[in-house]
Amino acid sequence: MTALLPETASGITVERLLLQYEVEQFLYHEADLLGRHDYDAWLALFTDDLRYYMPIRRNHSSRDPETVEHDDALALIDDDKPFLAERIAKIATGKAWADDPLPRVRHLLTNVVIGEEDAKAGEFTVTSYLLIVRNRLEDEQDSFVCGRTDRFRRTPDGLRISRRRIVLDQSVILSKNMSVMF
Amino acid sequence: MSLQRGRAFADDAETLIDRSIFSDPVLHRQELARVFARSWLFLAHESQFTKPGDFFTTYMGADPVIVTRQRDGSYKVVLNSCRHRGMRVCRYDSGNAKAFTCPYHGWSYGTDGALLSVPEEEAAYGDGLDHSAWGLAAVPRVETYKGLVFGTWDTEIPPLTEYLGDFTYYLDALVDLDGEGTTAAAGVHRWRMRGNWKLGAEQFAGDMYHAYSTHLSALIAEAPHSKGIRPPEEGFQVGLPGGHGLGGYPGYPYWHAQGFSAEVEDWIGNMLERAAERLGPARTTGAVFIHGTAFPNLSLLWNRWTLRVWHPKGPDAMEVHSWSILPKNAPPAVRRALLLDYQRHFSASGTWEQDDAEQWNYSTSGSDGFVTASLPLHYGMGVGRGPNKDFPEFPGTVDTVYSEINQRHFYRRWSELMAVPHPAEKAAPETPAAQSPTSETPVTESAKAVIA
Repeated sequence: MTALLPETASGITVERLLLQYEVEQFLYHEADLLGRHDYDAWLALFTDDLRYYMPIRRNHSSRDPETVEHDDALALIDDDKPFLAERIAKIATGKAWADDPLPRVRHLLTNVVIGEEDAKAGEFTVTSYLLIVRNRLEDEQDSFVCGRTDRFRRTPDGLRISRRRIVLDQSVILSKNMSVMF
Repeated sequence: MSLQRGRAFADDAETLIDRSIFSDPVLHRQELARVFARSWLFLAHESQFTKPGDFFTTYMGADPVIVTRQRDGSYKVVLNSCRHRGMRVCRYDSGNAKAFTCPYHGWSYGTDGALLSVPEEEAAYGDGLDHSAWGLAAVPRVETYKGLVFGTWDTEIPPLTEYLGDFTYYLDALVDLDGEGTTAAAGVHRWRMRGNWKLGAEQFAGDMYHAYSTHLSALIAEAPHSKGIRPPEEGFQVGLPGGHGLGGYPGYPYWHAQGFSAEVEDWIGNMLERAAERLGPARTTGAVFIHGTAFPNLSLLWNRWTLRVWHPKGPDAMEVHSWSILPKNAPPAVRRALLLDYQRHFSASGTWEQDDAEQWNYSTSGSDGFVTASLPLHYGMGVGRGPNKDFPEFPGTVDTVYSEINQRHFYRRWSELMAVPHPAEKAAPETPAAQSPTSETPVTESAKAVIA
């Protein structure tokens, strides 16, 4: 199979540049869909076996881990695709008072880096930084700064994300809800 | 606006609420002293601590405290504020410590709060610093109830079980169902929102009425997997002395409506059957408790296996700390399913939680306007209605499910406490005249142990 991440001695190839461009355009497109509240199109960017996960970050000593991640630990978000679909269906009712009226949301995306390849799974990781600014009603203004690690999979329908891990730069959530999509 | 006679109510019949209790900064300062420093406050779940020196930082009202497990297995709770310049001596959420050393000048305290050492003590103070007088202020009373750790600054308040009173009858239906106890999932959800803390506490105490309007979108979205299972039409609210309250419905298989696997559904059903043998059917298979509040700021959702505390952050903001409390010996798949069910619906990202926050936000901010604030709010639902006789086993005053009896209980207790100044309170220009409490529950005058 053709390597997903072709490499040369310099590490830079035309194929690699094209892949970087393709991934960035994918993420920009995703951000645009979220800014337009086109959640159905957004959800289609994920595989059906998606895990969409955001751990809790702690204020901790250097001896202790920053996050606690296991099946018996709380997370800020730990969704599969059906539950993400339920979140979207909720907003679509027009009766989701936290999102009615809809907020003005922009996803600003930087630091897109293509990382490790998992040839066996046909996937590769992409890390990115994200600043979400949400403005709503008269004076509500929230910002969510986070890093994401996505696993991209090449499918017959094009690139899709099979796992998204979001690390939010807050310990106490400073917004009254987290109804935005990350 | 200032509160009349220290009462939340705007009328003698106690059916109207004065909106200033949700916005007035003077009242908020008083409430920290008169309500929070005079009540038993929930601190932590015992399963958060496994060995001596394990600590957890939280708040009592607006006061930051450290809860630490001692060598004898007891808990010590101390103010997280150095006695020298007031710096926070512990800035971690949790961990294990042998001592808490203030980062400012290096005063070091034991996990019991005792002042252990002071840098350059002889050069700085000679022999003039009495260590025994300058330890971290210790919360004078700490007690547990079936895994839940509480503390209070009030030295003359009744013991915890007496304070909770008949609320324990209902609380056991979360923390003592199968006799195996509970443990908390690792971690605490914490989020901050605009809105007065009492709006959260009173809603959990007695408001089933909001569910179909506030949570309409979530109900529609989850209808596909709820299999048409809905609560019965007729339910209950139970108001208890001391300001506690809860509400729910006659038994129905709610756990079949939450998208669980057959394994999880079977385990919950079987566990409730076992619980019915221990506790009787009335509070196990015979009823589903949904929402409740132990005065002032501990709230529960029985069917979501969670409890939370509403910490005030000034009159117009609050911070919720929320736990997932799970049956200790449940199989991992059951614990996982219950954890996710709570997290997806009632954490900061929760689909039910989101729309509550919206209500508390704009109910509170409406109190800013002079004319708006001068109009009292309607808390009269169920006034004059006879008691609900469908639940004879339930201790307390039982009403039908759409009733504000619990909110009135909550604010009656709040008013009793607010009517009596705290001895350590600094005189405030707008302090309402003290007046004897009007109801049967005595208000302890003491609570003088704020700074030992």
